[in-house]
Amino acid sequence: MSATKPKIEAIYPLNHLQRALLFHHLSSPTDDEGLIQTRCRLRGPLDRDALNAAWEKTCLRHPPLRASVHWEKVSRPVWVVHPRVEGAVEYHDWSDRGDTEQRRAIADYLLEDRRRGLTLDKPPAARLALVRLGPEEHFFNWTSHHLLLDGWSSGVVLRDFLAYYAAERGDGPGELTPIPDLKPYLRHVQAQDAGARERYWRERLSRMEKPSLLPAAEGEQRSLSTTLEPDVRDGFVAYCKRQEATQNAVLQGLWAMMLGRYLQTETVCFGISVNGRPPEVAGMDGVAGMFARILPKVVQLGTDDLFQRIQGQSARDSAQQYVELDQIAEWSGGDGLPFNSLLAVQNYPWTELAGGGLRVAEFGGDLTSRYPVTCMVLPREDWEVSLRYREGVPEDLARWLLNGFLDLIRAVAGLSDRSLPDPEDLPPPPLVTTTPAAAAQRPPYVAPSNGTQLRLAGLWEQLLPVDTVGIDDNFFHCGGTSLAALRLFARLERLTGNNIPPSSLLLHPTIRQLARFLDAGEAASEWNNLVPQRVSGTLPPLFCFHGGLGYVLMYQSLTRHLHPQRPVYALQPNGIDGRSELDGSIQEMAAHYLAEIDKVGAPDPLILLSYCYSGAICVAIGRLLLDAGRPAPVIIGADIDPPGILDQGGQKNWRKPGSLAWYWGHLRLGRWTDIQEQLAGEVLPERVMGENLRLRLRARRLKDGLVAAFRSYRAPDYGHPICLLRSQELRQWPSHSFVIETWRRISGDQLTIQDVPAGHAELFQEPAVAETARLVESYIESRTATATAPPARATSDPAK
Amino acid sequence: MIRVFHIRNDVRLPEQEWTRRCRTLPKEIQRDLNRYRRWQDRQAGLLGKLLLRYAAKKIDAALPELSTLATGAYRRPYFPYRPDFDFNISHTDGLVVCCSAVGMGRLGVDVERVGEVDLGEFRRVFTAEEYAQLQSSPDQVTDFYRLWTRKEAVMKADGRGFSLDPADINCLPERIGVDGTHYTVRELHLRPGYAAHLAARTLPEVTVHEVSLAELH
Repeated sequence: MSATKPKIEAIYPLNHLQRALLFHHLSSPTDDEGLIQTRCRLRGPLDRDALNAAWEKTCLRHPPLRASVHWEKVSRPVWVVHPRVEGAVEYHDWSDRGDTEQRRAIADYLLEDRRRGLTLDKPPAARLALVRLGPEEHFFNWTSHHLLLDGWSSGVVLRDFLAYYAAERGDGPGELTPIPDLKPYLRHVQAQDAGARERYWRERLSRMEKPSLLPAAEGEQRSLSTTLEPDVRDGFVAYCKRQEATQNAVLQGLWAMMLGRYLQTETVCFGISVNGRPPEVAGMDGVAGMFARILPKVVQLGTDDLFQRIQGQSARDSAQQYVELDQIAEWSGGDGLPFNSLLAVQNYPWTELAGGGLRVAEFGGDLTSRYPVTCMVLPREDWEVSLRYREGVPEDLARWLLNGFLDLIRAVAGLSDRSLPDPEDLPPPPLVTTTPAAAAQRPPYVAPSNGTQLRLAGLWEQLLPVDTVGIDDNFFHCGGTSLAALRLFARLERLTGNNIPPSSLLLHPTIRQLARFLDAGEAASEWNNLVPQRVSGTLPPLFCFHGGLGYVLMYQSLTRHLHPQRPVYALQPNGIDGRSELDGSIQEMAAHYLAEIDKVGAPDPLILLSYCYSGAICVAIGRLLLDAGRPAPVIIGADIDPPGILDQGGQKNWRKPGSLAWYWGHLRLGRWTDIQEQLAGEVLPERVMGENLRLRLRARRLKDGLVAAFRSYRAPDYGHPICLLRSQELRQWPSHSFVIETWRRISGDQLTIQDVPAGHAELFQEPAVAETARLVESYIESRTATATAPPARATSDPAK
Repeated sequence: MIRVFHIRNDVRLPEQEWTRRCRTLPKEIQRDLNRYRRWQDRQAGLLGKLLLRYAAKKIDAALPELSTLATGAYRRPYFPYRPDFDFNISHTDGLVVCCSAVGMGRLGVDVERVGEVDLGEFRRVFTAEEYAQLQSSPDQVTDFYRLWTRKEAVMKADGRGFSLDPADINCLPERIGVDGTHYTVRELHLRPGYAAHLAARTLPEVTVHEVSLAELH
């Protein structure tokens, strides 16, 4: 690996955004969206030797100009700083051509330069060209990569370059003010409280009712652009002063109004690009590098102090800015990022760049954005407002967004007071073929972030007829067919030696899911009982226990109906993977599950939900908690079988399908077909698929073990509240009174019964599951509000 | 009688036409269609549903609406209120096919556009006997697609689809057994360059019709 070669100054890992850019560089080398062409015209007499010397010094000053990027044979992709780099400036002389011809040649050069791309793993990952257009006019282009340098850096580098040039020409000091190296910056970032950051962003994101997703799709980048009239620009600046808000805050507020109008929601979210240089670290503004990041901007519309609030929020956001977008995606509780548009206001302070008799004109740069819609504002002399959008975004929507945004800017520019414009005055948004909700199904792009994901993404891009795939894209929604799935697994086997059934793609249809599945397979010995259904949320989590056959997948539909801020974990028994051994007794299971639950770090009282016979496990866990001096858990059981029910003579012959005794009876009679059908109905259907034929044997073995454990369990001395969710069928069971009586006794006469108007097997199925979820939430609320000592934890619901 | 209808899917519908057709479908189906990234897949989904509605009307005017379509175990769609009616849809590059019948049990259909194939990548999909036969075939590509569509049609008729291990099912004999149930298979000649098969417990009479978009009003 090249990182072991001598003479390397420093090695840094790539962050999330850099990894995403690397992935795109690798997947489309001739159309690399991370490529930045910083170009300008240099006016004045030019000394080429001085220019070369000045560039050399600029490279020595800024490590990213001496860097290369490495991703092979390293555990994580890194960028490496070299002490020196050899890099000549390409020189052309087009001064014999006319102006039109020169402009055309420049445009062609830029296109060809983009097509050539950059070789990132050989320093310098940059290219420099100087074209003589006339005696005192040169075109200058510097091609670099966004992975190493952000937009802010372009200005920093050009400014220093011109300062060195001036010095070479004897027109200024030869040494510039020193800039800090990366250590204080990295120390600053590491010193941030990760827990506080997570709480902060979770809280921000929880304010959204729904993700702010515009109807979007893949495709080529297109762009619409307008220049603001000078009087509008002046009027806008005056309005910002009256509002006592920055232009940034007002532009963000107006963009938020556009999204709110389109999405018909009061709280919207979009990405903003921030410079990422902490003000706490002195001199950071003069450092070139890749510090920029995208932050989610959550804006609540609807009050007069909108712009002041945005501005105040910006300070708090930037205090917590060192967050990766995959964390944002996770904390938002949805399937991916909660936004897919970006607002980039490029108000860099470099309007006047000059030195050594040279003056910069027609300064241009590039902005890299992978978002379906990017609104860009360049507040230079003539304000340029443009909208970049993917081909798949309907053009009339793009137009509506840009024109509406401009209308709002014009509206505030024409005001003489501090009032807000009303986005309802805008023309109605175009009817997109699909409703926004329907169109928003495509998950936002998330780049691969580990080796397995990267490998899978590579295979997917080979096999699927789409240009890029993010890790949350569904294989079958990207044109994947059964034959493509078979090829995928054949190639995966060739690559890794892993022999995986193609049906696992039905269970794990995204790269994120499949990679997790593949990686988990390697650590098979550590079977985990906990199956997260939803990990994010501000409320205390709910733990759901497996039903009669050990499966927990029915809890997925329940999760969808519970409070969106309620994390949900399901617990499945050992043995369900066919490898580990089933715990021998209910007490053993309880101890085992409690240890797993405590890994999550949920606050007391724990909230436990059970189905069929797992009510006994919950009571056993309750007993363990009490013995440990902890508060009794909130126990909710749906049609739970009390201990001793299998000993009810004569009654086990008639039980409703799906109940434990029913399975038991049918197993003894060998009526497997019935059982299989029952199973298919009880478990979420699509999840059954991957289990294949082994399912039968495994389920039977598991079942026998569970029944044996249940049979030998005796009702404990418990005496704390239990809630029984009772199906219509339970009431008709001959054992009904035994069930009620036993639970009443175990709970010390603190049994709450809630009836669900559905059959036993339908409790967790649509549509009845909505009512089940409602009853679960309302019981939790009643219990946690009156619980003896609910400790005030940061994770508990602030609304209560 | 089993009816097979197929339609070409090689030209993108104009935006207005797409919108108009989509609006005739239930909201949930529209939403599902929009999950697909490529117009070819979205349009194939739309055409499949239009073919199904067309076929259902031909068979029995009282057949349930698409809005009552449910997804059963193994993600197989069916009409819960009409257990006697079954259908199956398949699509590939440029073609969509739908088969349907009343009182014939579960049906399976698969169509693939014949293209390049690296047989080695599909070793695990076939039984040893099937694979040997393919290897010695003078026309490996055609035979591969023929055998594969045969197999997938049977897996779809069985209902468990890909949850079955394709290498467990020997598709060489006339009657193909899966866990004790036997299926009969018929090759469908829909268009040149495509391989397709239909599978059911019995195949008494099969009609095959190409449909145009105009007929799918």
